[in-house]
Amino acid sequence: MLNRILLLAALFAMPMSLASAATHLGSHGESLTVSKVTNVKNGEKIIVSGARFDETVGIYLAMCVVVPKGKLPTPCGGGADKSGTTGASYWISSNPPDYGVGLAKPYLPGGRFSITLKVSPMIGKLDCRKVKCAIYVRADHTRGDDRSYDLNIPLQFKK
Amino acid sequence: MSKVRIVSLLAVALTAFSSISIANAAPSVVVQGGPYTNLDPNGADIHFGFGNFPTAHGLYLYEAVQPAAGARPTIFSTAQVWVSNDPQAPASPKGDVKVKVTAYFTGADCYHMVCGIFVRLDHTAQSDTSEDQFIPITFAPATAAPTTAPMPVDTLTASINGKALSSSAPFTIAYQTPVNIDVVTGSGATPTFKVYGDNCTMTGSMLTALKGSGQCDVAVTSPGNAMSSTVTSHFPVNLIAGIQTPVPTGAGAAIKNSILLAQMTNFGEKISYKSTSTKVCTVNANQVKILKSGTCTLVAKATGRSGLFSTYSSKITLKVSKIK
Repeated sequence: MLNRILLLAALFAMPMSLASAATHLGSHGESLTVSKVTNVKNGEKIIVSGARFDETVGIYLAMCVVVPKGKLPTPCGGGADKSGTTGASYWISSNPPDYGVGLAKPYLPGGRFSITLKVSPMIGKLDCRKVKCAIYVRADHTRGDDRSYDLNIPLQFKK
Repeated sequence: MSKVRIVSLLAVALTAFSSISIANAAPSVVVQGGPYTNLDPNGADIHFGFGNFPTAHGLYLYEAVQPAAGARPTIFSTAQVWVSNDPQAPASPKGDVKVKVTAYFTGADCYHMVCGIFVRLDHTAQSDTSEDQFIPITFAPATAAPTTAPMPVDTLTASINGKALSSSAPFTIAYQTPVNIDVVTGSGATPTFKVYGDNCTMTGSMLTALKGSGQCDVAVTSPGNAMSSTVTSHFPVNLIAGIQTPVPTGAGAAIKNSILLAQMTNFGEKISYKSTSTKVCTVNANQVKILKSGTCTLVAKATGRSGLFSTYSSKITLKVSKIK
């Protein structure tokens, strides 16, 4: 009986956000983690973090409609934010071209980043409560055709 | 008809661009260029094209005083040209490569010394002399009393922590250990910096390695001023593995007979701890629990990453005494 109580106490003590977090590994050893992936509310802020990314390869981070593996993820919320103004997508690069200095956020040592993303279930006219959407990272436009850096974690919005 | 035209065009091209190879263990790259003689002493462009260009490396070309046989120049112009298939290189071997020469440059008087173009492999093969070549050049006789004196090229010296950098010997930096490059220009003009190669990044004069192996190239340019013309010097860089150290966020905090140690290293790797004195202390994740007074010995480890940083390993000793 005491054991049961302790087990229940341990379960309830576990933070709920941890229960719906997800981590996926990429083909180059990198890992992508999203703090909450189920029952996400409109306008909710989620934390997207990465580790062990290749710091010589810039990436875009955004919420996109899920596409078959090997296809360019599109459409995405906010598009590729090369101007750094939309706030819907992020450009992470430690060695961007000259025009990207100040716009791109550099990796932390070890190929890490942590970004708070305010998500909406709508990507243009597409409703992510009806179509599958995910948090994506992909190589930036300097390696736009390189699909080997694509990595995604599906998001399920609260209906 | 078309064959005849092509052959005659080739003949013209070979006349204008003579191929010279200077004996130095027979370099495999074929450097074709011109003109090499009767050059304007105040500044002339020599154009180059390449055959058998190296596939794995690039080349540096620069004006220099002829070195001793088998040696590299000690008197040379800092206006190097980097030719490489690396997309970030300022000159591609597939295009027209120009090297600007003058009869006088730092330490050199080409009317009294043998000057020429020195060709060598770039910073990706720093010590490889197999492609070293020297191509002699000569200048037109100096005209008497020029109405305007030729503008000298600006000079610049670069250093890191007081240690001078060299265009011919690479300096070394470690992964994610930024260094500041101090530059002094002869003109007093403010220099600009550019890094070539994806392995490094530059913010102002601060250089950071994004890899723990390989090379990059730093170009420092002085714009010159009214008295001197612009100059660019290239400094090759070798990269080595970074050193992991614990990040003391919240570490050292004491909680009821416990001590919190660093969770991760400066490169984000998780530190694992093991107690080798379990009668005095035990450890769970990064929390050390003190059981009694004595010596608590821990072994801390964090994984290294090939090509970036080395493994972290440390022995931690804590003296535990009874609180009175």
